[in-house]
Amino acid sequence: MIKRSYGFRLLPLLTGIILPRHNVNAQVVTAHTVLAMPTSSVRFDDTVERSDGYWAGLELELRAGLFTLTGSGTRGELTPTVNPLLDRNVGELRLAGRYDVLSWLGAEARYVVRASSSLTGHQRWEFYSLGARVLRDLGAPGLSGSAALAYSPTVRVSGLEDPRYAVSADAGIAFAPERSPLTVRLSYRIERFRFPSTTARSEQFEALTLAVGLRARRQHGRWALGGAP
Amino acid sequence: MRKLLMLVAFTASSATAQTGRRALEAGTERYLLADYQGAAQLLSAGLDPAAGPRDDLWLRGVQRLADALLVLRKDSLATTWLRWALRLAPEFQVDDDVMPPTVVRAVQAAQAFVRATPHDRFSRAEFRWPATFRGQADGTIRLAPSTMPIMARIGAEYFMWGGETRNVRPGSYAVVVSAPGYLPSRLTVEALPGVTTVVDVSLLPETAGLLYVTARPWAVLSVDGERVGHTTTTAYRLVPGDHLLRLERPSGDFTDIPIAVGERGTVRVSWITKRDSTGDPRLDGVLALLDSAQTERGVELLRSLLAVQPPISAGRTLALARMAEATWALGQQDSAVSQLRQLVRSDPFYLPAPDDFNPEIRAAYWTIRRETPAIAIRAPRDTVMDPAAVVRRLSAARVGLALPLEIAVGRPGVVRIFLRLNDPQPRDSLLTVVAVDSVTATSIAVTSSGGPALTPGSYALEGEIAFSDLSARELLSLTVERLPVDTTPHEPPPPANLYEPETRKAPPSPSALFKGLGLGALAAAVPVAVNDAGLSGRVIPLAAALVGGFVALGSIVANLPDAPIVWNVRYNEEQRSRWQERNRQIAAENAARLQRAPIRIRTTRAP
Repeated sequence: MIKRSYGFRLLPLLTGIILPRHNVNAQVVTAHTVLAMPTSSVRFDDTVERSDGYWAGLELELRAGLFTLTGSGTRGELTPTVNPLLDRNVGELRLAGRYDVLSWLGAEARYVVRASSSLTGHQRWEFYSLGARVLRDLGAPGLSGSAALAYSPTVRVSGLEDPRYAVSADAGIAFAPERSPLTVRLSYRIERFRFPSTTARSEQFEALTLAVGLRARRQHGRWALGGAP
Repeated sequence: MRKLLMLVAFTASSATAQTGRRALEAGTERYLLADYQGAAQLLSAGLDPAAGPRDDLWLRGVQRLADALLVLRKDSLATTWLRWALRLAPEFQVDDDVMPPTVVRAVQAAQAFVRATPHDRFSRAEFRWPATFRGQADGTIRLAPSTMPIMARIGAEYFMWGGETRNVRPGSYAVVVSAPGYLPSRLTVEALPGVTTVVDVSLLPETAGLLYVTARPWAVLSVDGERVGHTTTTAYRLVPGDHLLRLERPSGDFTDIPIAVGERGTVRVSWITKRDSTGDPRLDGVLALLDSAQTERGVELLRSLLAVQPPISAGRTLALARMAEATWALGQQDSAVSQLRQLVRSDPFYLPAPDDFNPEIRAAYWTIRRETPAIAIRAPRDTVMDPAAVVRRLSAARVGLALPLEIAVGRPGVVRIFLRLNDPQPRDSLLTVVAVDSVTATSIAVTSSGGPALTPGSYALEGEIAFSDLSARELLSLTVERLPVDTTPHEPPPPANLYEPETRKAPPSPSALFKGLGLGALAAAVPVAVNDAGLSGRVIPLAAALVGGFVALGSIVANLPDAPIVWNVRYNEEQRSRWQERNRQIAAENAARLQRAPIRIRTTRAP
């Protein structure tokens, strides 16, 4: 319980640090509806168990100058391909902050907590990640691609021995027309957890996510739907 | 025998006159030769009024004598001669084209003095030149003998009885003649060097009454058949008893009014056939008071009314004119002159009708008007000018429109009319130069055949009259507006769907293709690098390939080059050209209509 509260306590601190006041007048808030197709793969010894499912949720993104804060919550099911009776209800909460060091490169910090429940019981995953994101305009206004690589030095899993570390990556393409408030993003992420060799377990989580959202921009103290003024 | 005596008498009088005239002519010669000492002596001798008429030679002689004395540093003597001449000939005017400014100033000062020290009708002065004139001698004042025990006080030093003579230094002297039981008589006389000034008075008894007469239009007043002068008459003293007044207008109309004057009584007579009205009840009340011959009270009230703030605007000119006339009648010529000057400055357009002022004050008004630098300009308050109407009327090429302008000045001179512009920067533009004597009409061009001379906007017209010593200015605010006319609105641009697309996407270049595929591969490679093929079952996860493919496709499509469609570009250009050409025609027609639009000009006098 104490561990869980650290992430929430860090959030306002992080926000205070990375949202300087001078950026208040150039803020963009985007609210996304998120649809995801997750796949979880677990290997015990030589057996691989895969689960697929559909998730849905909301994502809120606040961009102020060079800083971007993202928070999302999704919920859905993961159904094992071998034994469909062991369905898991899964919920995930993600908090991420990014600072664009260069126009094409951003440093990113992420906190993820994922919990599932099934007939066999409850399980909770919690990890922090630090990484970098490469951003690239693809040539048309509002069309951009991105790819990120992150390292999680600490991963905590309830009911299991904690993985030694985790590596995650994602790639995506986003379209946000300048004059329109609509945004569309398609991304794919993959998280790979490395457990101690004594457990003979490894696990990988993937998700193909489609996010459709609306943007609102604050200019001269007023909020208005749309991107660039 | 009788004819012989007449011939002798004629010859004798002619010889006397010739002497004075000869002295004047000889003095003029000396003056022209710059022999001022000799000129002063001869001219002084030649100015004897009994020696000849007060003609041009005599008037020029006075001016030359004054100039010679001023050159000889005998300023006070020059002043005395000028005052004497002005009392003798009130119409005397200095010729400022010939005479130096010192003489002009001396004449003006003498005029002011004489106006301030008028004679009353009971006293008169005569001047007797000696047979042999001595310019260096003192003057002599003699009080004419009387049946009454009269006594005169001359200045503050001398007293004399009737019939006595006193030698005094040349100059002006205030003389008060009195006798027991009679009203004293006051007058100012000039003692001239070598000349005997005879003061003759007829005193009125102390019980005399006062007569006030007002007539509008003015009339000539006679009392018991004796001409008194022009109305308005104030404080005219009459012996108690019955009298018959006659008022006679220049038109020949007259009225006889019998009056009875009591001891120390006051009689007021008015003959008004034309009443003035200003629309201001306060002013009208005071003017009615003046018309009822209550002159002193009327002047007092008018003076206080004209001093109120804010100043009276309606009827101010009339009020000033009536006050000057009444003040003049009260014998306060200095004040009257000041009021007439104020009248000229206040309204140079005021030209008194023959009925308004009697000849004395009328002459004074015109004299003062011609001395006072003042200017006023006026134009119609609201004028609409239609250039099209002018063109139709004249059936000829378009001619310019002109705004009529009236200019009035006090002192005649050359008036410059400037147009003062404020936009884009303050500057003056000289419109016209007019020589104005009193009032003249001119015009300023508002439009010309070359286009509008005055574009719509706000301007100021400034009239300026400048002399070597003084200048006067007047401002008139001018607002020029073009009245609205129906103009054709411009055509809107053709709708976008009428245009053909001017470009099409061309196949991607090899480099763009390579770049897009590379980006897609890189995007996919990042998750692939993390992917455990053993867990996911694929070396390249399907979703990674999908995202990579979208990135590659997006990059390639976004960078597809545009190739122009020549025919469509040409077609669209023609569409645009036709639209622009139509709008150019409309703009030209609108400009022509605006050019012919009526112009409205409003003028207001600047505060």
